[in-house]
Amino acid sequence: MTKIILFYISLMLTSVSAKAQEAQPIMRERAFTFGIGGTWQLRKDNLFSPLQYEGIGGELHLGYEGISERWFKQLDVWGSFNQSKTYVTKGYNYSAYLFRGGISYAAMHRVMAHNKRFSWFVGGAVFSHGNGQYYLASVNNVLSYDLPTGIAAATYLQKPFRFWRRNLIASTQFTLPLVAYNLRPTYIGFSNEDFLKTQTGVVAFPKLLLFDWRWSVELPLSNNNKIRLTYRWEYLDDKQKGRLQSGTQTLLFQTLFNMPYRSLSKTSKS
Amino acid sequence: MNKKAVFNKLLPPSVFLLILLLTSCERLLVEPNPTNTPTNNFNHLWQTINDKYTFLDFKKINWDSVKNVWQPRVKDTMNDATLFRVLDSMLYTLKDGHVNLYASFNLSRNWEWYLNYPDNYDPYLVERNYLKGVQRYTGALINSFMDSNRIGYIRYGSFSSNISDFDIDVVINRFKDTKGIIIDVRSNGGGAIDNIDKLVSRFTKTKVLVWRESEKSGAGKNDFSTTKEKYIEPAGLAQYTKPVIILTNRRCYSATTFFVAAMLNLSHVKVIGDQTGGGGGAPSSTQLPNGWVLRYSATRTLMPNGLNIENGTPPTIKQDMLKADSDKGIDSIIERALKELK
Repeated sequence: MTKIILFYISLMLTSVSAKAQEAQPIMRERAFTFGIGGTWQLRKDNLFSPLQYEGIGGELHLGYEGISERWFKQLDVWGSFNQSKTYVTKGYNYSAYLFRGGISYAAMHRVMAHNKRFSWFVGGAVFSHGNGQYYLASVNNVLSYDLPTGIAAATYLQKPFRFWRRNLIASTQFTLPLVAYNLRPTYIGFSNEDFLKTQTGVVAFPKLLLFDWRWSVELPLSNNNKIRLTYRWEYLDDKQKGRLQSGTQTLLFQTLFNMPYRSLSKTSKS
Repeated sequence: MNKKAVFNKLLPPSVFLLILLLTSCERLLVEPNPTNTPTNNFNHLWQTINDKYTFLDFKKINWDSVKNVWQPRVKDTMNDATLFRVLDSMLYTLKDGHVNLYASFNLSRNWEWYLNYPDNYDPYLVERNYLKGVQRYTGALINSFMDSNRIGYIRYGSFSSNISDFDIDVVINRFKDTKGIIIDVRSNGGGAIDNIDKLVSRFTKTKVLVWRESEKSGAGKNDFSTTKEKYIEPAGLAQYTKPVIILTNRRCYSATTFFVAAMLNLSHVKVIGDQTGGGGGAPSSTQLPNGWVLRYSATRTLMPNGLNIENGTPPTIKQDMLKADSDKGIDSIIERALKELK
């Protein structure tokens, strides 16, 4: 583990110390992404409690991104952990652990002709998000989770700009689920969790709101590597029985390791 | 300064401002916490029980009348301890050990399901005069031979102590040549329902319907979800189908009542002792606006013959511990079980 961290840090230092490249619009590029960050979440699950739980935590992010003159493709895998509390009673608080994770694949087509000012893509995504909450205050229904899986509309806008004598790339990405199959069990049981009833079904916008909005600033480095700072805002509102609402803000530091097409093609020939 | 330069100057602070704006969005979008006043806490508790508690009709409780009695005693100026006493008293009328209110300074619970009945169990007497120090501890199962190795005795003290498949198979194998087995679950207050399946599955050679369960699904007294049938299938290395006697008392509660109800569906099983304490509703919980946790029975369970087990399962043979026997170091209930198995 230590070797992996040292390798990562050395890779990062090498990249950062390199002279920043000109932020030219990218013709064809793909990268492996790795990110770590902090999250803050406010959550209210009426199936368990009428109270808001909020807290901070950490997030780990892995993925793949490919961009060309026509397409922007992105695979995201992420997981996070928050310890949240509800602040209602002086002197003591009630805590919950929140585990979140997800996988999504987005494919977006360029809307306007390629130019140097900005790139705009529109398309769709398939996703599966899981949120599990472990209530330390509860006696029997300690664990609850929701697992929406579905398809979403997605858009991505990218614009190069110059700031503090550096060429940077700003981007924003918005994902709005249209239809999802949501699995949300109701736990009732004894010491161990034993769920009696599973609330499942197809939920469509606007009964299920699941905004995922990201704002990023990228600094291109040598060899088409990049570092990126992303602010991600997610809002979930599941208006089925026992309304569930959560807002999550994540500040993510990512590195994008370029995966050159040429070297890969050589590998495939051998 | 041209437009591009202005745009570039304004972009970063604009993004920063947008982020700040979004930061406060959750507060606007997520429903706020309900007002934390004694009146509101009382109303929330009363409404939860009214909508989700499963036994109001079964126990013939007029919950509106209960509200009329206790609501006038709630004042917004009262302190937490006084509010707790009022809510505790109101919940006490449900006579349900699965209905509890948890605050940091106290726990409310109705203990009447066993306090007003004989104990019918003396663990020290059993240990001294029946186990005599030669018992085995196989996981959570204390086991020993009785009646010159003709009878097997299993003591299971709590369903919160998990049983492994290995443990139960070892014990069943140990007693495979006996004439019968006594399973002593007296004063077992319940625990994990998973352990019921493991135990019962070693005493049946066929898949058996053990109970029917449904959840309160609406505010109406008879709003219940579709009934879910619970079956248990044979499992383990071997199944014991010779006579089995379960010993019970009023402190058998919750998962133990479920266990006894399940075993009573098997033709080679008898129950000797007292009626179990009940606890036939699987509990769920919620919070009040002040954070206190309210636990309540959220399901009802009926045996295949239609018996609602909330008030316990009756014994096949009623037998109390007799003082005259106890004074001589004799457990009347074990003796009755031994007699039945001879």
